[in-house]
Amino acid sequence: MPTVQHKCLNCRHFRNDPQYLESVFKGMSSLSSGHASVRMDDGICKLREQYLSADFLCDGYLPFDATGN
Amino acid sequence: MGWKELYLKEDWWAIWLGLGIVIVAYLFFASGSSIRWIAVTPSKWSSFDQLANDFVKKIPQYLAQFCMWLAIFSASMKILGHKLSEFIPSFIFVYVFSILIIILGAWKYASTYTLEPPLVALVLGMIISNFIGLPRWMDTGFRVEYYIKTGIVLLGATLPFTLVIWAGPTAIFQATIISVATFLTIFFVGRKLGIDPRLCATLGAGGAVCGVSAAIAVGGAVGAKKEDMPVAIALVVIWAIAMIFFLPLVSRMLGLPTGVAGAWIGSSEFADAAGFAAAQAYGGYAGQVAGITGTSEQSIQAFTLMKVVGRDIWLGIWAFVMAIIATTVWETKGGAKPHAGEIWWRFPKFVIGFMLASVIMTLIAANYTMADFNKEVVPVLVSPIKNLRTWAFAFCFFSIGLTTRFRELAAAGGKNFLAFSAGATLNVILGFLMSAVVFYQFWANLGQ
Repeated sequence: MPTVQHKCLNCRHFRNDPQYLESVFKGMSSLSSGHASVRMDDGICKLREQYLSADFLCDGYLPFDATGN
Repeated sequence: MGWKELYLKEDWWAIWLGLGIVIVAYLFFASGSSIRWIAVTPSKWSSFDQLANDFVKKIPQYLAQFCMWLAIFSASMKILGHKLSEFIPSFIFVYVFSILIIILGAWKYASTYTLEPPLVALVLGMIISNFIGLPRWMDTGFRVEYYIKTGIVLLGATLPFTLVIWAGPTAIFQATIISVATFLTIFFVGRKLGIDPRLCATLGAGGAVCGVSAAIAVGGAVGAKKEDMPVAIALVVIWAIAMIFFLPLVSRMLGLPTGVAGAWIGSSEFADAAGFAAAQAYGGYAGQVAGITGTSEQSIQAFTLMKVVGRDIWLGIWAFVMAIIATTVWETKGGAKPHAGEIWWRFPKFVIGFMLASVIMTLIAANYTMADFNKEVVPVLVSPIKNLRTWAFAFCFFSIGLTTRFRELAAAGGKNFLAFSAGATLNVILGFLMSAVVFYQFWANLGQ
């Protein structure tokens, strides 16, 4: 059972930096922004191929290694 | 992210910049001076001699203003993680073209030839981005949302808070009816066509609440498929761009008062930036095109009330409700339960700056009679802020064009297009009926 520490925000599969999202979601910066408050910390899970809240929990959680990768 | 968003989100930076300008403007005003010099705009002109004389005379002011914008935007862009080596040349490009666009808008016959600055900026930007092309790194300076949010905070200083209180409930009532009807139409037509419920919700929010921003908020809240997000974005962008031209054009054909047209645009345009382009363009017809009554400010004010107050501020609630449905009905979420705090964290914070700016100016106005306010305060305090707002909006409208590359947008697919278009069409019709029939007198006489 995944725990709160295992949320997407701390997972290696999850990417949510604004520039990355704007590059993946073409057109996003045309009428919105990766830096908008409304996005919170949402990002892309490369394992599940989903756009998710950073609070999402799942069994595919993979922590960052000691180098932060 | 929590409270780090105070310096890591554009919304908060728009507040700091916008309110900072309002406060500095007030300090100058209180000390018997004004920021008028740096808030320069071109004078109305009808001959090239007039234009040249005016421009040459104001070159130091344009340079000073450029340095001001560059300094405040560069500092925040650096903190937001962008490279100044990319932002600075890109912003120079934006500023130079904005001067040209605003100068064209100051031409005496600009409205006669439908050369309204927002439309010119948009078309020019789209021609450059779609037919000429610019290096990708220049996108760093084309910050549509940052510019429009800064402009909206500045707009707050020109919109009496009493008007927000007085007209807000009507705007919320009208906007809620239209938003709910639009969302349900997109959602259920989409479901009938067999579209995934998460995409239906994402499309519905995009069409009913606030465009791409709503789509990304609800998409994240419900856990949309990665490949579905660009579809929702593409549909919103295409419809929103079309509406920038369609709504002012039809309003002009019908001779709608500026307040009524502004309310219609606020009801039926999805995105803030796109809507302000349409509303400002239509406001420019006031006093210029025969048969169009009202003031240019009424168009902007009605749009702002309908869009920002009536629709944007409820985005967090939409996302929260959708997250609950996703978790309990669609079962797409993991072990994390939606929490009510999401309503606050997804709240478009720039609205706070807009409201505070409005309150500040209303408190200042309370010390004057209407006649004294118009004579003593407007020229030295309100008008310069309005001028700076014009610049922020120009940066935004040009950037919309520069970032709208149609060939890059995702293929929407027939079913998605049909579902979204069903809601968008209803939105336009309902918005017109509510603005131009049911509440016609209210919007036509807004603020008078």
